[in-house]
This record gives sequence, structure tokens and C-alpha cells, in this order.
Amino acid sequence: MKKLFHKAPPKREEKGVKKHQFTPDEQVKSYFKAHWRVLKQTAGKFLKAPLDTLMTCSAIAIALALPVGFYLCLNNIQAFGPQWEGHTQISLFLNKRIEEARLGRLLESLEYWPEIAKVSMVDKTQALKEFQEVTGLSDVLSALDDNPLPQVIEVMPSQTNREPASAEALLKRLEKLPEVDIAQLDLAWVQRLSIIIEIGHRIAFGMMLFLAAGVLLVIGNTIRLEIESRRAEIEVAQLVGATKAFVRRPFLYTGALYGFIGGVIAMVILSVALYYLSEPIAELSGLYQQQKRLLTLSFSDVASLLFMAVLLGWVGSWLSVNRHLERLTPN
Amino acid sequence: MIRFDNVSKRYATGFEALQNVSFEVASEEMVFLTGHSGAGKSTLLKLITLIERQTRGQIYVNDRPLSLIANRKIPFHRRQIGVVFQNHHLLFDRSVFDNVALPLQVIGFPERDIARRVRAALDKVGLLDKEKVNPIALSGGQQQRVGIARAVVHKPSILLADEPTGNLDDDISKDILHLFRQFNHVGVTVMIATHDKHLLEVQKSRNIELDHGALVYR
Ligand SMILES: Nc1ncnc2c1ncn2[C@@H]1O[C@H](COP(=O)(O)OP(=O)(O)OP(=O)(O)O)[C@@H](O)[C@H]1O
Ligand SMILES: [Mg+2]
Repeated sequence: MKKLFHKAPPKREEKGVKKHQFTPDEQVKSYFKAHWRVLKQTAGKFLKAPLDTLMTCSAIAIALALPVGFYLCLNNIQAFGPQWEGHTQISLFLNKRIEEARLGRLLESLEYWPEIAKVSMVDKTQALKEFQEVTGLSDVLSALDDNPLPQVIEVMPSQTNREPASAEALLKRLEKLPEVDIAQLDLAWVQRLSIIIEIGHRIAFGMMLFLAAGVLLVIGNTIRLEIESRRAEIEVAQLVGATKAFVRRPFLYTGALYGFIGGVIAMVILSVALYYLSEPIAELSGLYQQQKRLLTLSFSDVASLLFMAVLLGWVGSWLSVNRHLERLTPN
Repeated sequence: MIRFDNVSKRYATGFEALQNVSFEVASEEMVFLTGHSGAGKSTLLKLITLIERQTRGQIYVNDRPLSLIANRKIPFHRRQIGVVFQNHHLLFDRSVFDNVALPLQVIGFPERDIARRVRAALDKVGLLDKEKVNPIALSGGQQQRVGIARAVVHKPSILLADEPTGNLDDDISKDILHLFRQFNHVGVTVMIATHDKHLLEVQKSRNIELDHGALVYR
């Protein structure tokens, strides 16, 4: 037993092995250089198999373009909203026993309400005449010596009070006025539109979740194949002391780059689609007396689309790498 | 430098590959690890590099008990060890230079240092003129030299080799072992596993022999 612990030969004086020491500056520099090198390698690999790269990126692009395009259309329809909200109007049917002077005072005070943009009086005699023409009841009506119609005031809410909620609040206040019998809000259009847009937004959101999951799967699977084909390299790197971060890095860049290229292609698809749609939409705008408005991608649309695409690529490969590297590390 | 203290290794299959193995390798020593096929030589080297963990006993490398090294610290443990494999594990998708540069890139050496050190390592194994060649175009002996250059390029204090001469004929084997001895002369602790105990070089050094997972005392 003892024999086995042979006495080792005495230590030599000169040491051939020196610990390499990095300065912090060197460390930071070599860290960024390492990242830059990985990015260059990844880009180089993409260029070596452009068709494969293009196919993967296109799948990602389509998954990105669909919900974003839908969203843009919705936002555009919503942009017509103010136009339609211009039709928001409250009709006040006044108490019949109200005398002229009080009517004047009421009109005047309503003019001063900040929530109200415009107040106008419907001419009672004119209204009766129109009513007679429409209904053909002129004989019956003219038999009455008094005009049976109530006095009506039409109130146009100010710009900031035209959405359903605040218009409703204004209606409540107007209803409480002693001079007012009935107050009626002409909201149907606006309400229906905003409900439709709300449903659309929810559909777009759901679509986005589904397709984001799709992007994650596409990237995860691509990365899995990539890991498979670079298994030997990963094993050697780990044996010579590569950290998980080092091994993960090229795959994360690959995923992010897939996402980025996919995002760029998605933008091209969207631009073409929007150009194609711009004519009928311009017509629709004309129909609603709006100045010509074209669907375009704003800078922030572009930035957030690319950000989302890169993020999805990064996360997708992160999940995939972590799952598959587990099998390669010792227990 | 390396100390095994009653180390046993039982694989998940239940097979006991090493049983109560105790020995010590001093700093700057060169030892051979011999034994029949299946004796547990590779297992022993895997325990030192933490590719596997011992199931009993303790292993010390540079006086550090390996059981205290957490999994995420393993890479840093491996950086002080150079490893040469029987089937060399060279990557055929890149040049000889890039193969040898890998450990330095992993550690994060600056680019200029990398070139200098890779050339120095290739020079030592006599392959400086092959740096741009793909290793697939080299002979078995040359490939093994590239593997050795890669194992020493970051100047590890310990060099482990698992059957480094496994596929090579005797003359080339002698050259390879001579190369290891040169590294040992400049202060590297060297441990070589081989089943070929008749090699002259082997007989010049201390020999740790395994038999069915247990040390042979003689
Ligand atoms: N991962 C494993 N799981 C289960 N058993 C294993 C595993 N690795 C090795 N063994 C067993 O452990 C024993 C020792 O294996 P090891 O590879 O250490 O032998 P060796 O001495 O290196 O042999 P060789 O000279 O053939 O390379 C063998 O019987 C082998 O079957
Ligand atoms: Mg073996």
C-alpha cells in the first residue's frame, strides 16, 4: 500500500507553467472581440447556405407579417374613428311649457359648458312642415291650432367628449336639467365601430401569441439541427473548458440573426401588401371626406417589429440550446 | 498535484469501474497509467477532468477536492488541464490553426496572443508548416501531434493523455511519447494512459497499473 505513494522527484526550481493574467481592459476588449467574431462566423454561415437561410427566415417573416399587417389595418380603420365620432350628437327634447326667455337663457348657458362644442335650436315650425311632408298627415296636423312638437335643442359635444363613455356622461348631466324632458344620444354607429375594433384587436393579439409560438418552434427546431451538426465541436469546446455561455453564444446569435432577417423580410412583405391596399383605402377615405391617407409603416412600427423578431429568435434558441446542452454536460 | 484517496466509481449501470483507488502524482512528475482493456484507465482520467464524478472517496487536484467544484465551475477546472485523446477529437471543418486555437478562444485570449501561442505550440510538435491545412489531410501521427498542440497551447499545468499512441506504429509512438517527456521537462505534470506497457518510454517512468478497477501493487 505504502509503496504506491512513490516519493515524487524533488520539485524543479524553474517553473515552465505561468498563469496568464489579463488586465480588466484586455478582458473587456477580448469579450467584445469574441462576440464580434461569433457574429461574423454566424453571418458567414448564413451566406454559405443562402437558400436554407432564406427558407427559414421566410417562414418566420410570414408568421410576423400576418398579425402585424392585421394590426395595421385595424389602426387605420380606427383612424377614421374621429370622422365618425363627428356624428355624435345629443338631442334635447324640452319641456313644452317652457317660455321663450328661459329657452334663451338655457341656450346661452349651454354654450358656456366646456364639454359642449355647439348648440343649435331646431326650428319647430320647419320641423313640423317636414314631418307633414314625410307622413302625409298635413290635414290632421293643420287642424291643430298649436304646434304639437316639443322644442328640440341639438348639442354637439366638444372634441374630447365624443367617445362613447364621456358622451354618455354628458348625456346624464343634460338629462338632469329641469328644462329637459328627454335627452337622446345618437351613438349607435360609434359604439358598434369601437366594439368591432376591440374584437379585431383581440383577434390580432391571439393571432400574435399563436404565431409567436410558431416562430419559437421554427427557430427552436432549426437550432436543434444546428446543435446536432456541431456536436463534435461542442464536446471538444466543453472539454477544453468552455462555459455554457460560450457554447450557447453562437446559437443565440444564429437565432437572433434568423429573427432579424425574418423581420426585414416581414417588412418587405408588409410594404408590398400595404402598397397594394393603398388605392382602395384611399378611395374609402375619400368616401368619408377624409384627406388622402396611405397605410405606411412608421419608424416605431419598424423598430418594434424588428425588436420583437430579434427577441423571439434569441428566446427561441435560448430555450432550444438549454434543453439540448443539458444532455451534453456531466451529471 | 493529483491525489486519489480511496476513490470508487460506480456507473449508473451498477458496474464498479474503480474500487478504492489511492495514489498520488507529484507536481512536474510524469507517470503512466496501464492496465488491460476495461481496467478503468479512461474512467480514472474522466474523474480528473470531471467528465464523470467519483461515487466514493476524494480526488485532489492542486490540493482542491473535486467534489467541492460545482458544475458551473467545471470549465475553469478544466482550463488548468490539457487532454489528449486516442481518437484525437480534431474538428474537420476548420484548419489545423483553428483547431489548436480553440482552447484559447474558449478562455478568451486576445486575438494577437492567440496567433503567437498557436504558432509556438505547432512549432513544438513540428507542424508549423501545416497550420493552414485541414487536419483530415494529415497522417495519423500528425493528427495526434495537432491534438497534443491543442492540449498544451494554453500552457496547462497538467497534461492527461488517453491512449495517445493507440493507432500508431512503434516508431511514431516513441516520437509522441518523447514529445510528452519534453513537456514534462519544462514543468508540466503528465499522466498517460496506455495498454502498451512494453514501450521503452513507459518503462522509464513510474507506472500506475489497474486491474479490473483496482490498483496493482508490486
Ligand atoms: N458510461 C459508462 N457506463 C457504464 N459502464 C461504463 C461506462 N464507461 C465505462 N464503463 C465500463 O467501465 C469499465 C472500465 O472502462 P474504461 O473505459 O475506463 O476502461 P479502459 O481501461 O479505458 O479500457 P480501454 O483500454 O479499452 O480503453 C469497462 O468495463 C466499461 O464497460
Ligand atoms: Mg480507455
